[in-house]
Amino acid sequence: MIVDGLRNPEFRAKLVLEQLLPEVLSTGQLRDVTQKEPDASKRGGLTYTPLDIRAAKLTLTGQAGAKLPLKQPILINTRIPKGGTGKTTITGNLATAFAFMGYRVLAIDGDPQASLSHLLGVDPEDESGSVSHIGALMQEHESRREKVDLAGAVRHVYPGGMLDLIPADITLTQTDGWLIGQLGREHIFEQLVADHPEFFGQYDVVLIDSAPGTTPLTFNFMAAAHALLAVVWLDRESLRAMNLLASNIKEVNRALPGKNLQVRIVANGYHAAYAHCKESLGVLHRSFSGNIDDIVISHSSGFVRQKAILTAEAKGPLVEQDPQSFGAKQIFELARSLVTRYSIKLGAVQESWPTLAVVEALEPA
Amino acid sequence: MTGRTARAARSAPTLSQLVAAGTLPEPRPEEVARVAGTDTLDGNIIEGSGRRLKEAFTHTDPPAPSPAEAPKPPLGSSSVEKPTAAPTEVLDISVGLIDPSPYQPRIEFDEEALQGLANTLLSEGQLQPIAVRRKTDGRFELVAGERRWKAAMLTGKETLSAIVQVMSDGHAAMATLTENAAREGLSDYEIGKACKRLLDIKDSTGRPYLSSISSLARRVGLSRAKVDRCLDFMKLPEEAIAILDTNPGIIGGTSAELLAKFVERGCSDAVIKAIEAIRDRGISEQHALSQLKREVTTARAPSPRPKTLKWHGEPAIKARIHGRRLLLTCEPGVSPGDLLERLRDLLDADATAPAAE
Repeated sequence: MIVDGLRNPEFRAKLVLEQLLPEVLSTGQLRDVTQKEPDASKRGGLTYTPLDIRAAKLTLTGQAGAKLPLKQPILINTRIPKGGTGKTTITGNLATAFAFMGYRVLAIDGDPQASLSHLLGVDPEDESGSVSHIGALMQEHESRREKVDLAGAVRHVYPGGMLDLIPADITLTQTDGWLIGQLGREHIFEQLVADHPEFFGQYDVVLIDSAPGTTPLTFNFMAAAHALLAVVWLDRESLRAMNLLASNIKEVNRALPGKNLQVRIVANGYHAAYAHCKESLGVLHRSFSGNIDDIVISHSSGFVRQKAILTAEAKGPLVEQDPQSFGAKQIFELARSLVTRYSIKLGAVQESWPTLAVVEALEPA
Repeated sequence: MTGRTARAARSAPTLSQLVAAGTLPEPRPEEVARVAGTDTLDGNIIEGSGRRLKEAFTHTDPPAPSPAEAPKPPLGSSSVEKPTAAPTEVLDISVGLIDPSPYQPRIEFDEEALQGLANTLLSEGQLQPIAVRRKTDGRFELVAGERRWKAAMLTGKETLSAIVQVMSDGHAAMATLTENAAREGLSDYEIGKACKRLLDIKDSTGRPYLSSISSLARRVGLSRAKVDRCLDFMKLPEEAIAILDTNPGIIGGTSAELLAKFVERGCSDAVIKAIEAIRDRGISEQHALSQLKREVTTARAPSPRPKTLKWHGEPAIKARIHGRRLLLTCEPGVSPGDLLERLRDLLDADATAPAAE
């Protein structure tokens, strides 16, 4: 029985063939491999859902029908000690993009502002009683020393486990206070994941959105993450924030022997007309080349529109609302880049995207 | 929707493209000094996860679905690598362990520019890692960065920073061609040669990696028409190809298209002469082509008289040779279908006989 979801986005073959599949297929082949029948009630031809794409990819890679073994999912923590850089927008859109590409995604909202939850269409204030946020789960697990009901805490944004969310609410602020009193306080989140492999192992990738401030909770996420995604808005303020992040990372690497945290910088808000964008990008490139993703997210009206549309009928991130938009296409490119860079596997298989990310060095003038 | 695929065509410039285009201003040193550098950020993906997580999941990590059990992938090719394949990592690799890509389309490497690149490498260091993939013998094969590799060897630099990726042959070939095609300087002949190679790649089941020329065009981000023109180079005679191998830029795709048509009509010699004229006398392509056209029309030998072949004792077929074509016209009462069947049998009999070539 497939678990129900808040929404089940549908899209057409064109999107699938252009953005979601590394193979080159025709629409007929796509139809065959997903075994979809045209729905007489719908006009305009076949539509596909994230689950369809996953099923198709499992078939194409010979994994269909096999019980997929549990595996350690890739944990990516979006982290920069400055608010308003677009962290949550990128996290929510990436989560959607991965799901559209057939990956099973767990999103964890680690910010008491609950922006990621809102973006994905989960309003914690609708819940009667407080939400079981990640802090509460950590606390329960640590004090009771037994398994907690993670599945019960999850909100299914898309059906079939394609995009699940552990939401947050303002009470998440209390977790920091509790963490201060704990022994081994940086490892509690990591321990939670380690003690629940059957839950976390169902997902291909886990995206954690942190609050900008540097707190015991944010250290917990950093300690457990495979990689940090540092979303930098291209202005002077964000460059200063990179300094703070760099010192955070030094601290983590010093405090946790054997840990070598990797950071991927994503430049956001690029607008060719603004000199400060180019200058900031130049400084970033000079200082951090090798750590910056080649995809530079543009200052796109789509992302602005996305925020404006978040009303009672919240329809999700830009990638979900308008996957063919300029901004959405960039997110897909970023998602593919991360799949390659961090070996994010779909089931047991590493997809091989033709990489256009690495280009030769500057040619001398 | 034009012929360009939305995926291969960039929706916006990438960082590398902005850098290469010189769009980003050179930052002032004091600005760079104020921002923490990359040495604080470097990490190793394999070590990146906590010890607890590794231990918790180790016993649940599976071996890959055995290829014998799994149904053969019906279409396309994902690289089905066993989970023991190394994840993407950035390594410093000894220059001597790196082999050039067999799919490198670029033939000419401007010596002067290489020397310039070598100087940049010495003064600025390596700004972008190259991309390689592992070979089974422990060596590495270039996917992108041949110029940097060559420049590194000029400087005597011993190691290069490289992103090591897991890639199937098809994808490596695709990546190498796409990188080069995206930059200027790659001639139509080099593109055509690389496209031909790509079309010839078969995956492990013997199926062609690319299902059609249209799919190749989509993947590489060129129009179908352009790819067709570039592929026309491969229809030219051997002697022409030899000239192109040393002078890849000598003629463009449009000329190649026209020349290929002439070859089709049996005028290979004239075509070779035309290309030699461009090489030796430095005349323009236009000039050479109009000369060729004139020669061909004036020197056009009258079509040889058709020969009449007898079948079952009766005159049955008129046969004519026109360039590369053998034209068979059946007399009334003779079925072309029967003739074709008989030809097929005869040719099959040749196939089973010991091969002459």
